[in-house]
Amino acid sequence: MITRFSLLLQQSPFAGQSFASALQFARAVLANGYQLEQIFLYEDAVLAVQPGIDLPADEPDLAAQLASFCQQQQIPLLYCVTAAEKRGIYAAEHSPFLAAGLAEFAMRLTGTKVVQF
Amino acid sequence: MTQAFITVGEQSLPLDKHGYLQQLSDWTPEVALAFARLEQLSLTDAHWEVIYFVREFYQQFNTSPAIRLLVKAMAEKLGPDKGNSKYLFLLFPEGPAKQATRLAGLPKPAKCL
Amino acid sequence: MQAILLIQTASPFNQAKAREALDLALALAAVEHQVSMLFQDDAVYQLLPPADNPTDAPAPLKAFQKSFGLFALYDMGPCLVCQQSLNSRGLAELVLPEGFRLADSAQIRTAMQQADQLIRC
Repeated sequence: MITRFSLLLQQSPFAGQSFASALQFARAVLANGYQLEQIFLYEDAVLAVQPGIDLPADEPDLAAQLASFCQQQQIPLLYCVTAAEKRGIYAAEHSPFLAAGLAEFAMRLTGTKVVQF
Repeated sequence: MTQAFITVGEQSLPLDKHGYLQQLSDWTPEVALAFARLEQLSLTDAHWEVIYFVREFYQQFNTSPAIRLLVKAMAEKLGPDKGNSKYLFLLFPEGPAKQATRLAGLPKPAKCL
Repeated sequence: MQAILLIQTASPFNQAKAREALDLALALAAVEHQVSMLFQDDAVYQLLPPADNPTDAPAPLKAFQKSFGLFALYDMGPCLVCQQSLNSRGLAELVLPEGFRLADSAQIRTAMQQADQLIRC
């Protein structure tokens, strides 16, 4: 059986290397013939959903890179809506990040291996 | 449905962003009646049982029960006839956890659970 | 259904982290995963008895620990408490809340081996 992964991100996209690591890991998962069930943003990782992120052109926008990777590969990129609300974060209309709950993360987790970043 | 205050008798009680009571300690049964009028519910004994149940739940666990938790806790305490979502939705058609906690003067339960 | 060991590491003064770890544990249990917990590092401070009234507490914190009472409702457990973490914080004598038990490193290792997944918060 092909292993499926759930990735759980908990750090801010700016305050740590978790988004860079998760993106590399996700690419390696697919390149090696495994599958990704979900990428779920929790805790400070929901800061990535913020539509107002504005970075200088020469600094990589890891949140945007992760979003476009997930769109290309059709991988559900979910975030915890309660964690976002507590931080005053609202997604833009047609955001690539999908509002979800912990319950959805928990249900999708069945039959997958969780890797945290 | 968004308003900053709810009028109960002579008093105006402040509400939070979601239209829930701002001060938990402001609650009296009249507050539940006032919310019920807003939501066009007429309260029966069965409604009051749920309202007092969620208040007790909050006092014990310091958290507003979301729907899964409410069903589970009701089943445990009052048996499966009342601890099921069909029964609760008949009483509170807009969502039992959402409505019952509002009437009971508790904070809005977490959306994500 | 999976056996998940949730490792809590956050101090109760880190409200976001400690609280969100608790929410995650409850959500996992709500969809019928078998959730056990390990309180390690500064998370052992979560087991100190909280002040009943937040305004009496040294810092204005929500006493979210009351929600630990939900563990029994969801058949969660065991709730292990790292002995080493208690010792190194001068809390060796702490009376643990009901349903919690001490674990030494061998017992922690066993709990980790028995779980399908480990999630550290």
